[in-house]
Order: sequence, then structure tokens, then C-alpha cells
Amino acid sequence: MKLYTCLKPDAIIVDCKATNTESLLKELIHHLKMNNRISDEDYIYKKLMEREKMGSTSVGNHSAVPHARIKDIKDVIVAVGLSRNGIIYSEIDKEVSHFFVLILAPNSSPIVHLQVLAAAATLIKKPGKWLSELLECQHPSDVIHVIQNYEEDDE
Amino acid sequence: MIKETIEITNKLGLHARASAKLSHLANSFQSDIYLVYHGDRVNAKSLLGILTLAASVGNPITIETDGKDEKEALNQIVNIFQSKFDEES
Repeated sequence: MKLYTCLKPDAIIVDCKATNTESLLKELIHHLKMNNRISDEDYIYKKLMEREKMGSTSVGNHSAVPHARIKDIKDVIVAVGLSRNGIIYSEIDKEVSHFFVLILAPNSSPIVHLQVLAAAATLIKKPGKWLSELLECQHPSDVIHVIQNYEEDDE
Repeated sequence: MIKETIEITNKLGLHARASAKLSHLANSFQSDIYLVYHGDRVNAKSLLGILTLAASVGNPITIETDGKDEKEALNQIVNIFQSKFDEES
């Protein structure tokens, strides 16, 4: 699975304003709500924060993959946030993070959840300038193109 | 180098939290530790590496350890899989 195939322009924020983990998650969820991708913002925020409290989803390379299993959604929802200033996502590693892949997976499909996580990890692990290219994007569709270009390098 | 192949038995597979526990444990050993899953071989000390596998329940995974503490490392890595990462009672 490729990450770009899971992305829609209405689930991408190219210039997040948030300054910490809580406000970043709220900003991404609110964006999904405004685009009618989700219904219950508060429930989803609560599930994501519960997960962060069990252990940060910061994965290194200036990236984090906040995620939760959510009842009542049919298909996996993936959102991407880019923060030009970056935020300290994890108090443990204190690394400034710029790239966030939010994954909301239905309770019923642990395998799809793993595949999206794997696709995100494969991109994040790449050497090279993918992150600086993403941070230069002005439009959500540009983000999808940059990710697609890097993912197709694998083939 | 020694190795052992086991089956993944926790129902969520190597999701993020299980992978974090696994890489944390792997990093506590001096030995090099690799995981082989469906032909992909990754460094078990790398969280991102483990996540790229999308390793799921019911599938075989091979643990390879190589170094001074390879026996202890292999035992403990096999144990954490067999304990289902302490996430299911």
C-alpha cells in the first residue's frame, strides 16, 4: 500500500498553526470535521489523546503518526499535517516535528491500520529531501504529488 | 549469529506501541538484531524499520541476533512476542 493512495486534498493541512500536540490534533480533527470526513470531533480527540498518553506516537525523523481505532467509521481515514515552525510533539525525545500522519482506523480492520502505518514509516524512513519538499508545498494536491514521487521511487 | 522463527500471535500484530516496546527492548542489547518478515529484513532497533513490515497476526517472523549477548537477546525478543506484548489478557 502507498500512502498517497489514502490521501485526499481535503484531509491535508499544508501550514498547521498549532504549537503543541493537543492543538495540533484538534486542528487536524477540526479540519476533517469541516470537510465532513468525520462526525464526532470530541470522541476522536479523546481517543487520540488516550493513545498519546500510553506512549507518544512520535517516530523520529521529525515525524509523528497519531492514530486511534474508531468505532462507526467504515474506511480508514488518513490526514496529513505539515508544520513549518514545527512543534515539540513528544516531551520525551524533545525533537521538533514537522510532519504528521493522522490515522483513524475502523475497529474491524487491524491489517489496514498496519498497512497505512507501514506506508507512512516507509516514507518517513527515507533519506533525502522529502520533508523539505513537503514543507514548501502551498496546496494540498502538491503534498500528494510529492509523496507519490517519493513512494514511486521504490519501484 | 543465531535465529528463531515464531508465529505472531497478538491480534493487532506489530502496530506502533508493540513496535515501540520491541525496538526499546532490542536497543538494550549490544548484539545486532534483525527481523525477517515475508522476505523483508529490518533492524529491530529501529522503530520505523519495524513499522515498515506491517507484520500481522498468524504470520511467521524470524528473529536473528548476532553478538556477545545474542542468546539472551534472542530469548527476550522471543518472550516479548510470546507474551503478546502484554496487551492481551
